[in-house]
Amino acid sequence: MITTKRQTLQLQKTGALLALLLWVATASIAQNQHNDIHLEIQALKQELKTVKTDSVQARLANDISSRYLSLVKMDSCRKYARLAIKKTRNNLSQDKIKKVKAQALENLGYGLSLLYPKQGVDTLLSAQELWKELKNNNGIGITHHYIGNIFTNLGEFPQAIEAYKKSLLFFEKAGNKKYIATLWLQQSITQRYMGNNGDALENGIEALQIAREIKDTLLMTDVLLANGFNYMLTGNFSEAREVQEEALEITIRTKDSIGISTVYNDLAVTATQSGNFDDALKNHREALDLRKKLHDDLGIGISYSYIATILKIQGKLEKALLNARESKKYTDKYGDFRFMLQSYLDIGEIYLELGDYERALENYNDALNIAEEKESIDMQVISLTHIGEALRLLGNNEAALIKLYKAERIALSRDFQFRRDIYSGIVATYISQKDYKNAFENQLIYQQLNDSIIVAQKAEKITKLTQKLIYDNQKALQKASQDKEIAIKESQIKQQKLVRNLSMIGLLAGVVISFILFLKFKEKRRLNLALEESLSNLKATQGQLIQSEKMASLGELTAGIAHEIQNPLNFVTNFSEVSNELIDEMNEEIEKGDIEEARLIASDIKQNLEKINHHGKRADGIVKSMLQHSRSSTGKKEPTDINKLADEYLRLAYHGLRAKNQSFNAILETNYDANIGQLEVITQDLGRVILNLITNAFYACNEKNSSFDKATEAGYKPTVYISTKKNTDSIEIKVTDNGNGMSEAVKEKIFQPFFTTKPTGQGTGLGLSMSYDIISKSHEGELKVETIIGKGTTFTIILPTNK
Amino acid sequence: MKILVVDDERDVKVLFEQRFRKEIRKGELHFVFAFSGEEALKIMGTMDQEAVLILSDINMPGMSGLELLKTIRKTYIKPRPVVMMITAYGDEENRNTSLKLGADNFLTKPLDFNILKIKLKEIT
Repeated sequence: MITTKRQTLQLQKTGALLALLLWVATASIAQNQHNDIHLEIQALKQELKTVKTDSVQARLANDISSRYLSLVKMDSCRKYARLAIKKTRNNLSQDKIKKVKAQALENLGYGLSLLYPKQGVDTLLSAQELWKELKNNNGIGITHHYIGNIFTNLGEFPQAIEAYKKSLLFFEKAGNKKYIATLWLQQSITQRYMGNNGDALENGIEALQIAREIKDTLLMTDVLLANGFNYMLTGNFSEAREVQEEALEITIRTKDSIGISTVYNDLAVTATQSGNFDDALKNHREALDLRKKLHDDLGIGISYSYIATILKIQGKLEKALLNARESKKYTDKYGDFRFMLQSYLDIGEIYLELGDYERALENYNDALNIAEEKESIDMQVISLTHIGEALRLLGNNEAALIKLYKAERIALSRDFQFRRDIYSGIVATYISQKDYKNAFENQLIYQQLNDSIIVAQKAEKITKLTQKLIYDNQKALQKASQDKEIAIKESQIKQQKLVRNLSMIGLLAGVVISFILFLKFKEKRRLNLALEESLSNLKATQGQLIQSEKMASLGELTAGIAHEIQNPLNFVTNFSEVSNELIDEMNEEIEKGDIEEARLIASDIKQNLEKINHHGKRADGIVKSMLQHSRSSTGKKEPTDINKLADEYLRLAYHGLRAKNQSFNAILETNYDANIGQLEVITQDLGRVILNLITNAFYACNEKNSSFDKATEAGYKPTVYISTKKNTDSIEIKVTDNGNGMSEAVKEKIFQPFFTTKPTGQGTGLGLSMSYDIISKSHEGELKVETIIGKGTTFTIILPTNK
Repeated sequence: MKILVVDDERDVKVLFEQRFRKEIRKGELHFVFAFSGEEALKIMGTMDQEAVLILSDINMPGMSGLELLKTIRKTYIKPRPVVMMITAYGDEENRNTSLKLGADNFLTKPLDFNILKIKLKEIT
């Protein structure tokens, strides 16, 4: 249920975007064409004033309404459509007037669709009734087509496809190839919105074949560009370029300037997506030059924005800034707040890259102001996330967190993606505050959100598939019960014009859609970079933490190591000195002739040499294990003498603690099971775990000892007991202390990272969590803890022997 | 002279026995070895105040050399045994604590047996 609701919301969002696109696209028809249509409207209005008969007035009002529709002046379109309908009411017995009413209803229906889609569909259905009465297949086809467009705008793609199919059926009956090709193109675009790139391409190829057949260059350009996108989105960049180049050829041949600029734009987008930034820049500049000639403000603004972004990616920041400012100039002139807001964000990002965080912040704040003024939640969240980043980089972490948490509050009910990006910022801010604990906790939320996104994406895919299934079923049912429709009588000039206008809308919508797609790509790229950076920061932090944990434990060992090395070295020194003296003595005995005594001395010397060798090896072993401990784990399992490993670390830890705290002592008790032998383990890692447990055990004893000291001296004998045991299919290593034990609350948390009961600075809180990971993940074993308050704690490592 | 050597390193026994082989053979020095503080106290208990010199390591598991010194000074007042502590190089803190607890002299590891011989002569 949740998924369906989410899906619907998202589709509604997409619908609103598409509506905007159509609006923006048509509004950006080059000025000269606008002027032509305006002149026609003026003339028609003049005529309307002079004629008296209702039927002529109806026809004229309807013509005006159609022209306003082509300019996407919806208010005026509706106004004149209503007037036309009103003027037809007395003459509906005539088919000619009925036809005007049907056309006016079509205009009204489409005119309503952006703001009142449901009313739009109802009005179009009324128009359809009239066309049915008139047995006009083209009319029926057009109403289905418009209804399909409304569904596309609403994001209800399966219903849209259904309407297009119906429309196609009537156009096929009418034998109107241009309409048929247009409908295939429309289906292709809608399939692309649904993410069905394969179907989109198939429909596009169908449309292209027909467009080629009827040699309609405008339609061919449209279809080629749509197919270019389909190829690009499926990663077939060379095919995309091929069809776009064909479109370029056609538009140049037909001197279609708008078309040429659109093709250059699409070529540039394809080049960008395939990572070829130099070609992308070249093509964007071509598009820009043309758009300047056409006085297409929005187009110019968009081209500058593309160029700025590519320059920014290439690291040419100063140039990027100049282009972003130019873009802003033109989008401001054009006046749509979404593009103005995007300009501020673009400029802010470049300043950020330039290291001018103050100016970046200013621009982000400007973006936020617009977003707040226009009550655009999404853009507020995006702006706040950017502001958080700028503040963090300015070193104002507190303020950054306030903004980010504000974004989080607003975004709470929104997309997971927004929230994930916010948490990425929060984590980065905590890292820059060196507050690793909070960074880690927020990283967990970040990961949860990331997981949710993956789950949602999967669910969305399933929903899409389900919708497709439902649609296929409906289609099969309807095909069986389809009425036989009457063949077409005539084709109508006005309708052709409208279709042409629609194609133009489609063409221009292509520009805007490609820009929006690019913005998404850009935003995604930016987020990916930010996430990658945050991830690498976290990895570095994690690495530092692990290293600091290792170094901390090594630090604890240093004194122990010194002691442990000093002892064998002392023996090496002493035994060699003694041996030297013994040789002198032996020589004396030989001179005296006491060979027996000389032999005895020689055997002592031999024994000493063995001792020297033994202690030399002992020191060598300690140095090696110290080096092993400080080095990164190889992660390779090797046969290891568990008893020896445990004993080695016991001694090191003991002497280490003694060196740090002279007053401390503990009884060491060991009970090693000689049957254990060697086991395949990652030696360094297991060594670290044992060392950690022993160090903790000593720490616990020491804590209890210092509280005992004054009150009941000698009443407490701190004891650390380490034992090993071989079971049928596992071995056990137990480390027991008779310290203070732990409460249930503490026991529950000890394996959590950063949890420590030690005073600040004395523990990283990572020892046990790392130990837990080493045993459970790397060795598929268990690390268990038993504790009794006041009595002590036992940690048990269980390692399977059969793995 | 009876000397009690206390060290948790067992090879100390071999070392002393070899280094003082002549003295031992002549009966001039008699060494007894203990490998922990606890064992040292046990041996002291059976020695009937014969021990003249105690050489003790400080850093030992269980009862440390310092604790042993403390107990000896409490338990054996007359005749007062000479206690020489063996300290690690540069371990000023243990040296000072030993002095406070009543140590008579110090030796630094690694043991210089020539110095030890001189010190033994001073005592005898």
